[in-house]
Amino acid sequence: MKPIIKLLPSVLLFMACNSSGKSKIAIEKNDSKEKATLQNPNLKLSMDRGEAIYSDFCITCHLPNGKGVPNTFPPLAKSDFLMNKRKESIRAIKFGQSGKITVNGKVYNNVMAPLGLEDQEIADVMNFITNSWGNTNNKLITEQEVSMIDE
Amino acid sequence: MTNVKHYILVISLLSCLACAQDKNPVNNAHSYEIVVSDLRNPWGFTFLPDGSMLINEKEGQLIHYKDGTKTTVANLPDIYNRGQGGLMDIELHPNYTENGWIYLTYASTSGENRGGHTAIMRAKLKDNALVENEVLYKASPNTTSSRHFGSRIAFDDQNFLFFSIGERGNRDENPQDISRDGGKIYRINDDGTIPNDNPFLNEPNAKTAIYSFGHRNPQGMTIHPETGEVWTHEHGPKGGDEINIIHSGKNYGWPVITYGINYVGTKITDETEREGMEQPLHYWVPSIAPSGMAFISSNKYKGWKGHLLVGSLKFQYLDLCHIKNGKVVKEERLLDGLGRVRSVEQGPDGYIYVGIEQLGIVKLIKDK
Repeated sequence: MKPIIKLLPSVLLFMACNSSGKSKIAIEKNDSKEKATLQNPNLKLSMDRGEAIYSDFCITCHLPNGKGVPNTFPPLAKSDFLMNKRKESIRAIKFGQSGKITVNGKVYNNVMAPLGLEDQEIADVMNFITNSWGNTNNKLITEQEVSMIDE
Repeated sequence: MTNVKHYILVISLLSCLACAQDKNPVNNAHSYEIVVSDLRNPWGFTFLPDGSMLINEKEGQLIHYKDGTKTTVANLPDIYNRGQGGLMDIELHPNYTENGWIYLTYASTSGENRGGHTAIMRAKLKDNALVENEVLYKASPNTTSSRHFGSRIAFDDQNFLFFSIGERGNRDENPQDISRDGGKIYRINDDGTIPNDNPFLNEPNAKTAIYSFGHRNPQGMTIHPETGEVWTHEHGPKGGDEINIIHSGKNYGWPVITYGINYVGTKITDETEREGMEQPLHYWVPSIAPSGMAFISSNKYKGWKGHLLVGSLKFQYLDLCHIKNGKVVKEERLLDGLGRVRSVEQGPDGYIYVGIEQLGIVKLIKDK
């Protein structure tokens, strides 16, 4: 029994590491981003700024392909939490997130420290992640919408 | 069909190699006790002469922990809590009992341009507040980047004040240019003036506080208890975290030479060495994401005296680096899986204290 427990973290890390290895391909083939931005130039501008924020603040844990790390950092790609819980997602980015959350049927219990982003930056990164990696969101997130979210 | 099988085998072998695992063995001959609980990110801490502690919470709180009680210290500077930046390291002047100076690093928005950069200040503690605050150095230009503030502080045995500033995510401009801040180890006098034998005093446009350059993001710095040398470690990109001994005017190579690769898996450079650039004393592939650094110089840990401790954020352990003839010859995992190890100090009682994110500060106890 003991050896299995000892083995488990390395297996998890291995999986995590593998998914980051594929990441470049995922960024290059971001079809949903192309689709979304064809129709809306404001969205494209916001998503471009959001991509820069993502690469700076989020990519280390959620990875270039938005898949996160199994059992540690929840996925953003095709995430039911992100796509169905818009306010909670904005709140998590704005004020940080700790404690249990359920994403795609799996429970995550970790901490995301407050990032120190401005409201416009939060709107931009939300527009990016809700329109990437298979996600689509047809309602633009604005700075004003972010400013209304309380802790 | 066989070809396909071979192909799959080769690919899996390659992915294994590309993703080399941290193989350091777990050491179980030790335990710990929690000394300070309920801390979010104890980025730096130090001990006052009365045995109480000053603890920097990264988000911008300075806590005085005495007799089991936390008191928040007032009159801190404005702190830019963004990404990896916030309230960072804390250190006492070697002659603290005479002069009362406390040194702090933090991310600051002061100066021109949007964003922030690393600053170092000194102040005294009076009635639970900082007084006589003096900013000694503030890097520029500000940037909104979340990354690489460096910020570790150490005094050497001649009371020179060393501190690190990371390259702020701008590796192509900052680390190799001594006219720019970031990606450097700095050396100043305890009052912020520039020592008259700093290496770049006579270089045109140089930032004269710079002592060494070509660094990425050093979040560990300590003085070797016997040689008095400044030891640092720094985060590499994906792989290539390093331990270095800092020498005046030297170039430590980032990003011209590195044992790491880009975060997305692409190459930064083919070069791992070049003339005129220092080789690390030790490097980690894969990255352990090192933070905090201390030598064991007391007799509290039999067999470990002279060894080096480095926190691992990524793999969540305290790395015991066995040192022999000035080299790392073996590593072992202490406090394995307890949490992201952010800061390490040897206390005045000779015990090792370890700051762990989302946990607190624990005391390391050797069982045998």
